[in-house]
Order: sequence, then C-alpha cells, then structure tokens
Amino acid sequence: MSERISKLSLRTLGYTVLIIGGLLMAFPLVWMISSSLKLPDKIFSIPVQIIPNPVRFQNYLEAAELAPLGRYFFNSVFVGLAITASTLFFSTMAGYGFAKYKFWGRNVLFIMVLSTLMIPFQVIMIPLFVIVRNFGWLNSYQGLIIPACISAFGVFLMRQYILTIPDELMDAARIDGASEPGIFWHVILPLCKAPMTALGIFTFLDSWNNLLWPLIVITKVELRPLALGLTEYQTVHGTQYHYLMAAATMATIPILIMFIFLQRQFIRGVLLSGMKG
Amino acid sequence: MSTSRSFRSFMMVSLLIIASLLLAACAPVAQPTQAPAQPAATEAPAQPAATEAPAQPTAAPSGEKTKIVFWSHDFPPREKLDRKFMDQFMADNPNVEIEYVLGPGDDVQYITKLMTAFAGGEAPDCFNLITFSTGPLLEQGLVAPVDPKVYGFNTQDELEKTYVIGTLEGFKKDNVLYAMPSEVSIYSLFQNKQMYADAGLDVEKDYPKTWEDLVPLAQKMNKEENGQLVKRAFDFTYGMPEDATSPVLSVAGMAYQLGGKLLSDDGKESLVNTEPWVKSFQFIQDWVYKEKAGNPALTVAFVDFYQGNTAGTLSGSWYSSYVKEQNPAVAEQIVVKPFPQWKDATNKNGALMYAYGLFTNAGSSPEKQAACQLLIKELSSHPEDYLRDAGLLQSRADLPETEAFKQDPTLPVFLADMEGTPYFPAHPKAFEMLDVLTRALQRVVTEQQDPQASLDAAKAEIDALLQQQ
Amino acid sequence: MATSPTEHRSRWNFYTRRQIWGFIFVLPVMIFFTIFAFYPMLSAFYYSLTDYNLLKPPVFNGLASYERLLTDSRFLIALKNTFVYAIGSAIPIFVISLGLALVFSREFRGRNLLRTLYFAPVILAGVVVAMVWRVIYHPYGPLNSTIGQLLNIAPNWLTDRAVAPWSIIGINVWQSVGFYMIIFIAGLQAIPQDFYDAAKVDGASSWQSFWHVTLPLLKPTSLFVMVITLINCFQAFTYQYVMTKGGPSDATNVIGLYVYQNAFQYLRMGYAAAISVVLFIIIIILTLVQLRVTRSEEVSYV
Repeated sequence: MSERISKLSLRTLGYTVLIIGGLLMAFPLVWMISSSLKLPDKIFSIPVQIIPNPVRFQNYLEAAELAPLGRYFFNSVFVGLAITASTLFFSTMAGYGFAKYKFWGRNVLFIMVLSTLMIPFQVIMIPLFVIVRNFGWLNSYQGLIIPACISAFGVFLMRQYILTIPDELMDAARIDGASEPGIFWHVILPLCKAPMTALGIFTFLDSWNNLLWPLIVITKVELRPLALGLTEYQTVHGTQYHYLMAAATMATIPILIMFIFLQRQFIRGVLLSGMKG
Repeated sequence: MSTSRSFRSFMMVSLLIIASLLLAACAPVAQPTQAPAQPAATEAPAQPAATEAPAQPTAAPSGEKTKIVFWSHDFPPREKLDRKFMDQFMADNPNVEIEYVLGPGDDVQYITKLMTAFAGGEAPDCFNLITFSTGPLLEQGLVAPVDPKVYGFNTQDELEKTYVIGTLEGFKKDNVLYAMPSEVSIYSLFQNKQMYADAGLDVEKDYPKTWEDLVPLAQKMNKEENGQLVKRAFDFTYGMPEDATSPVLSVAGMAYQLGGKLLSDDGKESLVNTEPWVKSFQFIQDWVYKEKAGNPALTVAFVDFYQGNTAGTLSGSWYSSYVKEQNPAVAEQIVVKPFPQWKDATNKNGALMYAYGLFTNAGSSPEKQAACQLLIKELSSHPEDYLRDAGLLQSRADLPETEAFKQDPTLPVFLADMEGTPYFPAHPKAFEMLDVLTRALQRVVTEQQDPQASLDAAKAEIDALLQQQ
Repeated sequence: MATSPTEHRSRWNFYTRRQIWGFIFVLPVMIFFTIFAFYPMLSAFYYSLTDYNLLKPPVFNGLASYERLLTDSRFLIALKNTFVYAIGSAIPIFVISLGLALVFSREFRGRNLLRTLYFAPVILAGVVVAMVWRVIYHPYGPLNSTIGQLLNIAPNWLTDRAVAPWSIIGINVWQSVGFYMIIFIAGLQAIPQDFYDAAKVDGASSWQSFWHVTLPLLKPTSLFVMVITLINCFQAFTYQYVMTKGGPSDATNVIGLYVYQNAFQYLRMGYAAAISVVLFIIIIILTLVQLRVTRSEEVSYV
C-alpha cells in the first residue's frame, strides 16, 4: 500500500518537474510569438505581457513588405535540403567505413576528420572564401551548399551508431552473396533510420541558422537565406523588434512542424528486424 | 518493410539531388566574375591615386559599360533614397552600372563582411563605412582621396568650405580628404517633455544644463515601486549589446570638456588616466552607486526612452525617426537639448563625433574610381532629402537654410553641439581603443572598481596598442 | 563480442579486397575535407606565424603571436572563462539530456507534446534567444519575480561579474538539452529489448537495469555526446556575443569571441589564428583522452 502511494507521489513529482521544465522550454517560444503581435514599445515591457494588447497581425505583413521573406524562406529550404541530403548520405557511408572496416590508417584518418571540428570557423573563413571564389562559386547556391555538404559531426555520429550494429548481420549478408556496397545499401542503411533522422534534423537546423558563411559569400539579395534576412531588421540605427519577431516566428514555426512530424520516425518501433524481441 | 522501401527511395532522391549539384558545380561558370581583382589586396599597398585623379565632371569614358559595386549598410529610409538617386544617376550616365549591396546594420558584422572581401580580393569599388573602422584603410592607402574637381572646385579647401567646419575631420589623414559624409552624428540630449510635466516640471526650464544638474533632477523625477526603479530622469549608456549608441563618445566628451584628451599630441601616448577622465568616470560611478539614479542592468536608455520610462538619453539625430517608429506617442514628446556641460568646464564641446563616409577603393581601375567619385557626388548632393526622409545629417553649411531643416526644431541643437567638438580619432586602432574604454567603464559601473585604477589599466592597454604602430 | 572465423584471417591486411571497401567508403569524405577543411586549417596554422591585418598579405613573423599569448591577460581570462563555460555546461547538459531521453523513452500521456517542448529551444535563432533571455534576466523580469522572490535574491544576471558567466551557461544548457536528448533517444533505441527482458528475469530493479544494461551499452553514444558537447562549448561565442559582448569587461569573454574580436574588429588575424591553434591543441588533447578512456571500439550487441 505504502509502496503504491510512494510510487504515485514519485510519479506526480516527476510529472510536475517535467511540466515546469517544459514551461521553461516553451516560454521563449511563446514570448516570441506574443512579441511578434505586439506594438514595438511593449515588447520589452516589464512585467512581461504575454497577451498582446492590441494584437497586431499587421506586423507580419509589414515585415514581409520590408524584405522578400518568401524568397529567403525558399533559399533556406533549398540549401538546407541539399546540404542535409548530401550529409546524410556521405556521413553514413563514411561512418560505416570507419566503424566496420579495418584498413590501414583508419584511426588516423578518423581523428583527422574529427579535428576539422576543433578549429573555430572565424580563422578558416578567409581561406575558404578564397577557395570558393576561385571555383567561381561566390554569390551562388553552390557556394552556399558545397562547402557545407559534408559534416564531420555527421561522420562521427553515424560511426558511433554503426559500431553498435552486430557484425553478424553483415556476415550473414556476405554469406548470402551480397557485395560490400550492397551490404551498405540493403543492410546498414535501413538500420540507421533513427540516427539519420536525428542527423537530418540537426544538419538542416544548422544550415537554417547559419549566418556567418552566407554573410560573406553572398551579396545578392535573391540568394539570401532566412538567417541573413533576419538581420535586415537590425538596422544601423536601431532594431525593429516587432518585425524581427514576426520574421523569426515565420522562420521557426515550419521547423517545429517538421520536427513534430518527424517525431513519428522515432517511435516507429522495431529497427533490427528479426534481431529484437 | 514498406518503410524501408520508402526510406530507400528517399536515399535515391537524395543521391539525385547530390548528382545534380555536382553537375551544376562542374558546369562552366556562367556568371562573369567581378572585374579583375583589386591588385592592391594581394600585392604591396597601392600608391594613392591622388596625383593622377583623372575625373572630369563628366561621365565615365563612353563605349563599354563600367560596372561598379557599391556597398552600404542596412537602413531602409536611406536605402530608398540611395536607390532613387542611383537610378537617376544611371539614367544620366548610361554607361555606368551600379550593383548596390546592402550589408548588415551591425557594424561588426559589416566590417567582417567588408574585410573578408578585401582579404579575398573581392572588395567593393565604393562603400559606406563608419569612421571607427576607416583608420586601417587610411593607413594602408587603400582608399582614394576625394577629387574636388568632381564637385566643381579646384582645391579641397574650397570643397570643405561648403561643409560645417570641422565636420569632415573624421575622413581626413594628413589633411587629405578621403570621403564625403553619408551621415554625421553627434549625441545630444533627448528629453521627454511629458515625463517632465508628469513630475510637475517644465522641460524648457528644468532640463539639465550641467552634469551636476542631473542629480537633483533624478531625485525629483525618479520613481520607485516596490524597490524597483521604474522611472528614470536620465541614464547613461553602458555598452550593452542592444544599445546602438556608444558609451565612450559621451564620457570622452565629458573628459574633453574638462580639458582632457584621448591621445597626446604626438600620438605616442594615451592620456586617459588623467584627472578629467577620472572625474568623468567617477561621476558615472556615483550616478549608479551613490545616487542610485541609474543602473547598467536595467533596460537600456536607448530602449527605455521610447517605452516612455526614461526621460533623458543621449543619442543622435537619427534617433527621432526610430522613436517615431517604435512609439509615436513618445515621439511627439521629444525635445532635444544640448549635451550637458560641467559647471566649470574648460572647453565647450559635445560628445565626440563620428560619421559614416562614402569611400572609393583606390585599388579599383581608374574608370571605376571615376564612376565612384561621380556616384558619391550624386549621393552627397541631396542633403535635404536625406534629412527629411531618413533623419540623417549631411553637414552641409547651407543645410540650415533648407525647408526640411527649418521644420525640425531639434536639428539646430545637434549642429550647435558639433561646433568645437572633435571626432573620435580615425586612428587605425580606433575600434580597439573604443573597446578598451568601454571595458574600463564597465569595470567602474558593474564592480565598482576605482576609476583611477580602471583608467590606469586602460592607459596601459592603449599605450601597448600605440606601440604596435 | 566474438569475431567470425572469416574475418579473423583478414583482420589487419590492407590488401584484402574487402577492407579496401572501407577505404572507398571513406574516400569521398576525405577528398572533401582535404579541399574544404584541411587546406583552410593549414592556412590558419600558417597565419598564426604571421602578422596579417586582412588588408595586406600576411607577413611572416615567426612565433611572435605565441609569445604574446603568454602575457596577454585578456587571453588568459578568456581561456579560464572558456574552461568554466565548457565544463560547467557539459556536465549538466549530459546528465539532463540523458535523463530526459530515459524519461521520454517510456510511454505516458502527453509524452509527445512534452518531448516537442523540450526540443523547441533548439530551433530558436540566436537573436530570438538573446532577446527573450534579456527579458527573463532583467532585474525585474520573470526570473527574479518568481524564483527570486522564493529565494529572496535578486542578482543582476547579466551585469554581475560573478553571476553573468553562469547565466550564459544556463542559456546554453537550456538550448542544448533538447538537442542531445534526441541523440540519446536514438542511441537508446538501438539497445535490444532482449537485454532488458533478461535483466528482469534475473530480478534486476530499474536502477540496476539502467546501471548494468543501459549505461554500458550507451557508451558509444555517450562518448559522442561528451566529445561534441565539449568541442562545441570550447568554441562557443554566439551567446556571449549577443547577450554581453563578452562583458562586463571580459567577465564572459570566451576564446571563440576573443578570436572573432581579434580577427575582424582589431584586424589581427595572425594573433587570432595563434589563439585558435592553442584552442585546437587543447580540444584535441581532451578528445583523445576521452576516446582513450572509454575505448569504445566494439560495443555491438550479440
């Protein structure tokens, strides 16, 4: 009896903590949306007003008038998808190579790949700019996509995950006569859905919010991604916070929806067909 | 298993995308690369083209089109005007094509973009730049002097006379003028007359003429609720990120009023730990800790003014239109008063000046430079429009005669403050010096460090910078 | 973790047809990094031996930048702040994100909604984060009005030298836990149910099950989270840039921001590169240590 009570109170405590934490997580999102509907002088008002009064949907229209948000949105989506597709494929392939094969120099090469994460972008920016310029990719989609289309983060993540896949699966496929690339395509890839979904989300997000590289590589307005577009509301003589929040909301909500949709990939149960349960 | 199949089709699609991208990347480059990279960026510093300035007051050589790239920073009201005048210019000069690039409003991001372009050989032909960052360009001879002939004058002196004396100093090196102002700025005292009325005061009679006046004013106007300071008579700028004004210009102005200076006359030593600076820093420290009249942790005055909770802030002429946009009700209450003075000031000056100037890249081809000089002349020929529509002061001497100027009662105050006020030096290390002083001020107002100690440290830092020259 | 007989023969022979495939799979990535990563990195290493102000070509000056680093108090402060920031963030991030992943791997009402909420901060752009936390951290803002009232404190979260670094760590933890939670969830999903069933049959409690089944099998994922968290935190500078610009007076200045300031505000790219090299060495050592310590070569489930 007492055990049941203590279990119940533990549960309630757990729920409470979780919900309070959830509120802390949600509050900024709510504040952003609420600010996007406020008059500018009410945004930073203390105490915080959650319900705007009056509600100004015009902020969205006016923000969109000041900058071609639709175009920026398209750019971010296009560049994001391209980078994500490329990263997913090459990261998984390389992760597989590093995890399940023993070739000479494997560890050194892996450390080298990992090391690319360890140097701040600010100091490699200039040489990278020169390289991209020499390829003729300044002010182009290639310039935005290609330097980012493979990520060491992705290679690392997929390697760690693929390490946990039993060798037996691959051996079984070999005995059945599968080729090495075939094993990658038919055995490994389907098993990597969860980490690939995670990697896909992160890569897309990273490219969505990336500011520094597009800043220096693009001068044409038509190529601007949304992250750069947001800076347009931070003019040299003061920031237009209400438009900034409206544009940021428009930039954020689609990602949130995408995530809600992709969550299903996580709960879609059994991954190792035939090996589990 | 169907999920695996759809997953694999996703992979196929991804591979197709990647393949097409690779094809696109390998395809012959269609876009014409910018005209031959400025050699100056990759070779020894170019000699200033001063002596051979070829510009006549006519259009660039006819025949092929001259394409120039012009960068400016983000400010929609000015952008509109820029485009209007550029279209006019291109109509009048059909063989010049201008590519107008807008960079971020944040000065640091703008510099990042500009310097990367210089380093990578993709620098623009003409560009707008704040005086804090022009030092290195001036030092390396990377910008071309202004050609007075383009403006119909024979000498630079004659050109300068058409501007308010002293307002072009920020663009000069060794007395040569390298840019025309896109906007000139000085901080004066913005006041909210409604808040004065609410406190039973009259802004015209009771505004702070001296720094010492600020303290009793704060005692009368500051309001506390539950131990929270909800209304302030005035607050200083403390260098917080969302503040578009710099604290250093104001406190330097205070020091200069007492006879202080940033650098010694030979430029080899900094004088920031002298009495005038210490006294100014001490005043601000007392404002925060002794009088408790202001606080760097509170909402910055730049924002709180338009929220209607702070009655006084130091800002430039461009602030009026910003307030109008953020809160029209407060905008109607704006009165601008002169930058306060010390009771026993030695000099009468305002906050140190800064400006944004239109520069020509000395590494561009002569045709492009000529086109740039003409473009800059065009953009400098409509000071009234920039004043009326964008709130920007281009300090032409005849500006006070214009309608737009006469209609705005705040403008004469700014011009009056500019008289006798020097620029923050356009030193190659200017940006870094600003940083040193901002940190020194922050030490004084957030951890109550002794101003003399803080400024001694600042002097040491700045001296080290000067030695690197 | 047995190996099959066929593999035993060919284990370390580079010339076996099969192992070459590993190399082939890895090749595209290596080529890419050579062009877009290793070459720029080498350039950066070269810059650290030069005086480079971006407006003229770099001028070789040997180890001058490194000598300067030794006596640069701003660098040493930034270094200390970076360590505090990285370790102060990494531990809470690791613990909380793992905890969240465990909680969210069970079914309960409202799970999907809550999981989405915990992920929501991850997608917010830097400017939004800066604005909203400025409001939260305001002396009269929601934080001081609620928790502050309870605990009877009212610190200046962003202007008090002692508190400001921790305020920013708080923002980092807040925005990161959702991210790593997802990674842990993916890692947890890979652990076959069989192990848990077997443990239950053996009479293990949930806690024992976690300690003896989950944690060991989660090693590769844990290693990933730890390494990446540290790498990211050591280079971080966005929060500091938008919330305090490193202030007040370098209290929150970190190496990432100091590098940026030197490179583009002070136009001292050579010095910035030297700082980056030092940072690089620190991170590589830390990472190698972590890789060694966990030594998670093969943790597959048989």
